[in-house]
Amino acid sequence: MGGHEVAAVGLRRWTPLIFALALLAAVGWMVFVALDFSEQARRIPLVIGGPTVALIAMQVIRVAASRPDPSLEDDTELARHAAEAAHVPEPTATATATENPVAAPSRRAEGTTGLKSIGWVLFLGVSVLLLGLLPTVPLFAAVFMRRYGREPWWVIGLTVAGTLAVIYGFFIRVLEVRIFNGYLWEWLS
Amino acid sequence: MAPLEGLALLSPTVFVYMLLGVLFSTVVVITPGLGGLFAIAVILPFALTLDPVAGIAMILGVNVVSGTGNTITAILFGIPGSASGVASTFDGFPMSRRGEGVRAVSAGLVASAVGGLIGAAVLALSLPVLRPIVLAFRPPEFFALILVAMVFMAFVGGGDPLKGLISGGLGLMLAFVGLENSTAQQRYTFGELYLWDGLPLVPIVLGLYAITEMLALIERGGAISGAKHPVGWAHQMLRGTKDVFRHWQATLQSSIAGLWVGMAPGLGDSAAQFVGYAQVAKTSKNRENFGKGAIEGVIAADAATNSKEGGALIPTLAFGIPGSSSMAIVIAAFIAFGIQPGPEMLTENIDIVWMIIWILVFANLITMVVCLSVTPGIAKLTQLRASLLVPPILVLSVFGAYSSSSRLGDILTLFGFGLFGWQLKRFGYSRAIFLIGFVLGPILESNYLLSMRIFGPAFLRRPITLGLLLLLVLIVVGPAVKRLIVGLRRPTVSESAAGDGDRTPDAS
Repeated sequence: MGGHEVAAVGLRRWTPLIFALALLAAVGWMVFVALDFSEQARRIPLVIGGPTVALIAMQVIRVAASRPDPSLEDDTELARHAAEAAHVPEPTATATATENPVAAPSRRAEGTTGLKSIGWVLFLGVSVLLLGLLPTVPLFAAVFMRRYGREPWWVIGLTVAGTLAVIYGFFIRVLEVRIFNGYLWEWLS
Repeated sequence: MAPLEGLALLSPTVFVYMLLGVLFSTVVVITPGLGGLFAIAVILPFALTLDPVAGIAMILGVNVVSGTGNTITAILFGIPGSASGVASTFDGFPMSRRGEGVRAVSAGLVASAVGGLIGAAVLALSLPVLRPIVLAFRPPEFFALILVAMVFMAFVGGGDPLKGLISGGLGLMLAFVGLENSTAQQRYTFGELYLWDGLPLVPIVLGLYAITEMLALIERGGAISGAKHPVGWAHQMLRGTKDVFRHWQATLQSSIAGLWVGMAPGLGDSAAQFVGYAQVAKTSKNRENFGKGAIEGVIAADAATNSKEGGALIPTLAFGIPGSSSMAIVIAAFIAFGIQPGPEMLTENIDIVWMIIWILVFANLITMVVCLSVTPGIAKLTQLRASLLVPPILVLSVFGAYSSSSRLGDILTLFGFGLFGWQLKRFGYSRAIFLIGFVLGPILESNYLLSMRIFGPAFLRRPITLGLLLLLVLIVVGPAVKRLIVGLRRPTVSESAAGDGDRTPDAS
């Protein structure tokens, strides 16, 4: 195991504790701030916030005192763990893929790490903010489908056309939603 | 006879307008981010141009089934179109993942229809004795009822109760963001105008469910449904329909809970499903499977969703007090048509009251048939691989969140809560209980403040309130006492009993 892998496993072991501590800090701050509210405005935040802080503190102690859950050491294991909890068989649908061209292929073609998943969603978010809502549709669909699923261009074209049709027909024509155009065009102009 | 006069008002033309309302509502609520309230708001200007009977039929056609379409996406994709479909995901989505999506949706839709019919029947039967029923519950009772529902969800949600309680506390705390109602003091707003009205519900629901589920799907790869060869849809549909009648106690219990919540002014559109679900989970023999794909859980969530409409119509028609926000719009429409809801409605416009009851009956049955007919087609999407499913769903979720108020902050909220929801899921906290806390937070606060103002701290000693709070203590202490008794009786199996506490956390 290389140095990076050791560090990654170590980080994953500590993430439940870090998350619990972050929750403790956030709710603790909310309770602290509530002390300065007027009598009426602070009553329920304190009634709810106080016990919540205590419960999170219990969770922090519990996580810190317990041995790390080995199933949380690996992202793939985490998915399996969740699947078992829901009594779901592992998504190895290779056989289905051969019968149906749009059915799920094997894990080799799809599936990634947690950080990369977040990366995809952040890419979508940044694209919406910079380019606006409409240009993001073909951009995100093309990059995601090509990079993640290695889809052929005609499938990408059909997906983009279908999605844009729904957006135009329903959101723009029927609901008359005002479309956000993105900051990049504002800056360029 | 008034019932027949009401039926006579439902002429073919009026029936067509009701049908249009039903179909419109179904299409809208299936779209992520667009709930029933939105559907009524959009249809209102058009309905007000019709004659009063046709207009009322159309508005009620939209309203009474606005929770039904949600069931389809909530169960199949784990993405409720709005907050009123969240409870359907608890057991419906795990069923969908193991290839039983059509069965779960069928059970949910039939339960919705049965719940709606029960709501209509109770509305009809209760017309003579409305007042004492509605007035039995006051703010202290609602305050206690919400606390019991939340704590109970944490204990029966199939996961770690401590994490469940923390999730509920987090949801409640975030519900307090914005201006405090009576003093207009800013709480946790950082001076941002966007936060004055509180955090927006629609982007949060979409973030917690749509973004989180898509993140999980990207990471996992494959398709939503893990079943290689799911059982045929016709068989599943039949089984789901039978389930509703096989678990008739769950259907009835949840419908009554939904009615009760619907009747309570101010408890909102989303509370019924949670209370109904908690009520059934509390008494079910199969409670350990709730949250993991129990069919009774699906039935409980959906029966309450539609039965509450009948309940909400009781204070709306009898006192002119809306039982929910959507009923507030209905009342506005009634007034615009020159019909004043209130005690005189039950005498002077009793034929319209009966027409409304008939609309409840027909709209529920029609929606069930419409939704059941499209379910097999939509269910096939759960077999699609992630690379085909993720882009349209993510993009439509962004549009759905943005269209709720056309503010950029909604998009940021969507992504923020998507990432937060994903962390909750990864570490075994409950997104569902978090959301319940968020939805019920303002109601809890207003009922608490009203209770204190009217009764002072003595509100805790009111009989029903005290009973509910004792129930809450039983829920919290009960499992520990039970384990203790089992441990004392069978000391050799104490280790296995202790293991129960380490059940796999509900990743909701």
